[in-house]
Amino acid sequence: MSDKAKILIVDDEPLIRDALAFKLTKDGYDVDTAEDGEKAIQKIESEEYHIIISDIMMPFISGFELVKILKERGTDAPVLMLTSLNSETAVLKAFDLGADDFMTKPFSPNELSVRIKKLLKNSKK
Amino acid sequence: MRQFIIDIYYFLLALEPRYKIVIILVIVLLILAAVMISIVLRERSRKNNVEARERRIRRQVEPIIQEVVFTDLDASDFKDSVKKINRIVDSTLYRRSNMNILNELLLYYHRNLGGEAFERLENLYREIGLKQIALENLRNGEWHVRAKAINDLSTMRMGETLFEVLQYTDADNVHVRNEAQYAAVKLGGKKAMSFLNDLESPMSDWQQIRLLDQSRKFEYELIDNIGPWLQSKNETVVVFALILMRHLNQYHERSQLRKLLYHRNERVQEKAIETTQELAYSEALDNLYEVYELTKSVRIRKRILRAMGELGGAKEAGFLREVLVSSKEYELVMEAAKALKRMGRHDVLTGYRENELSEKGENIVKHVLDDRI
Repeated sequence: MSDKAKILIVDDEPLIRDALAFKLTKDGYDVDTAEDGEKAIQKIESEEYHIIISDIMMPFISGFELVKILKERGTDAPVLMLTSLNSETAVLKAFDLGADDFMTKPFSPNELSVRIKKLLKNSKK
Repeated sequence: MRQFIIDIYYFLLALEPRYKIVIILVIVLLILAAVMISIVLRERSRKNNVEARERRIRRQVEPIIQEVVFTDLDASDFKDSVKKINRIVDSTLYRRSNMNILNELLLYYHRNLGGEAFERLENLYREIGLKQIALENLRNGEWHVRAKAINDLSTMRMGETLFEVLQYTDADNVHVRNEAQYAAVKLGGKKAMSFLNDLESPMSDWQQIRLLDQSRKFEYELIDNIGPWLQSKNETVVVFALILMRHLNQYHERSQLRKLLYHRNERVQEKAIETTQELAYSEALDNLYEVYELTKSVRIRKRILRAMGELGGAKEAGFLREVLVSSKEYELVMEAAKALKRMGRHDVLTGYRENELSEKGENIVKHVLDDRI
């Protein structure tokens, strides 16, 4: 088994998904992607991830619903919301539902890397 | 086969004329249908080819862009990446369309990425030659091509094109002009807003909101510009300056504000009254009385009554009562009643003598005093 941290990226935008996958693979993570909440849940049921990065506005199951479902099922992996929604309401709702971090687009890839490291460090404690 | 055609020919000849017409019509319709189907198929295949080319270019270019954006490349690696991209999009027939695909791809990344990635994308945009293409489109394109070029240049933060963009802030076409004004503020900040000093074309309300939003970062630096803009010959610039004055709570142009209460343009006049009210400039109440007498516009009079309700004291309560009992214009009666209520002068509202108010006037007062409404 690989000792690399495994990250799941959930975003319906293929360009963002691919770009994030490229960046995080370069950072040394084992990256998997899903294009919507439903597929993400299927993947989470069969694999164990150390971090989940999710968009909010997605078809079928939104990012908010995804966090809610994951937290209800007791998934330990921290969830980082990465979205174009930058209203206070969205941030509060995300944290209220159990998200661990929140970033808005346009986002700095380097900042994302730092936040992922921090989330991984905190989840190991 | 020849015999078959001859047989059909004689068969048609032998038919009655009405059957001939029907058969000819059917043949014409069949031919038309065949032509239509072939056009649709050709268009579909052309569209498929375009989409396939777009997918191919995206597939080839995306990893290179990602490499440039997410990796710390040295100068020679960066140049190699630019060369690779240029080789992919290079085509005698499709170069223009390929460059458009590349342009949209970079814009998409730019809208979603920040920090260092942002700057790397900007460099790539310059080096690939997309900036140059946008400038050429700006100089030679149709109005929609120009507007798009300006939008692209500002999205990609091509600050060095500011001077070029400024040339279009007063363009004849409203879309080109709006994009150029917005781009100028985005690229040049406070200094670029000097285009408002000489602007002759009108600005829509929406455009004013866009500019105000874009200038939010340096809005307090615009205070010194408010005075000259309030004196502009362009009435929409005056309205913009009044909005700014109100937004930034600026009192130092009070004398100019008083003058604008008498402006010939109703929109400016209305904005000036609104600003007077918002800035709580009660010294201008005497001017408001004057304007109320001078104007024939019910809209302006209503606005003045509303301002009096906010700024006024006992004297204004008396004036509003006068309007309440004597005005024949029920819109003004309603506004006066509302203003008195806002002033908390229920005593004035209810203290009229018998038959002093018309039946309609009484109903208006009842309506205004009804807290359920």
